[in-house]
Amino acid sequence: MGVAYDGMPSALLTESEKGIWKAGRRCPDLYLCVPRSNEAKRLYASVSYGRFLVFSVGAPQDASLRRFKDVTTLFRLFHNSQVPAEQDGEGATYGSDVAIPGEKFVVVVRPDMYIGCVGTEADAESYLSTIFRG
Amino acid sequence: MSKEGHGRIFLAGDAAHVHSVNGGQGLNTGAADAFGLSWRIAALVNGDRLTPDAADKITYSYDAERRNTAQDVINVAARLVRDTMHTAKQYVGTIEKNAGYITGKPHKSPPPLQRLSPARGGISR
Repeated sequence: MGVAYDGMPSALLTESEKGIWKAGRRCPDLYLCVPRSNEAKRLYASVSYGRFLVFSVGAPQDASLRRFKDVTTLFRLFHNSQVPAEQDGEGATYGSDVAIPGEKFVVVVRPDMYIGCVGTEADAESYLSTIFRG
Repeated sequence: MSKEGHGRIFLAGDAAHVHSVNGGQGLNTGAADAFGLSWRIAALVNGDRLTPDAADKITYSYDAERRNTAQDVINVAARLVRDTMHTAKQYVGTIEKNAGYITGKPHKSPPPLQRLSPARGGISR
């Protein structure tokens, strides 16, 4: 848990951070609050290792990332007070206290649960395009 | 990777890093090597949709990340084995400073599991 790759010359890390997310560090565990219910589950209990994860935090800013749909798992996180009523069926939407009202950003997490990149939708697209084409 | 990081053979565990037993880090480091390697090999073998550069990035990022980690592990083991010539207090001090590698608990705690907001009547940490 103390092992981190930030600061190392790795091609699969873009040095970047926002809030509790820092590229090169392990993806933090979070409570994912199911909208319109009292149910919540832990992130690490909700994923299995082996796929890239994309967290679109604060707004559904992932249109350009849909071409990576079959190689990523998308989560949309909103602050608990701001979870939208309607979704377009893309990704899984949850409330989370780590989403800061007014802030939006995208996090790409690698299959080993280490964070690869934190930034805008364009940053996430750029990161994923270095690995996946099409 | 073999050949100081430029070769074509993946090395993991004791094949990749040799050090004294102090700190008990060898098994964990080997297991973590495997954890970093398994998804990479799956991606390389499956090969679909990879860009022309992706194979090198996937392969040599393993070297960048795990070689640097292994070097830190070796350094900690070396510091500890030299501390065996000094006081127990010094030895324990070195363990504490390197808790992130040895006990699995980082020196700076990671952010706690985020608690649910009280309005949702959820679990408080």
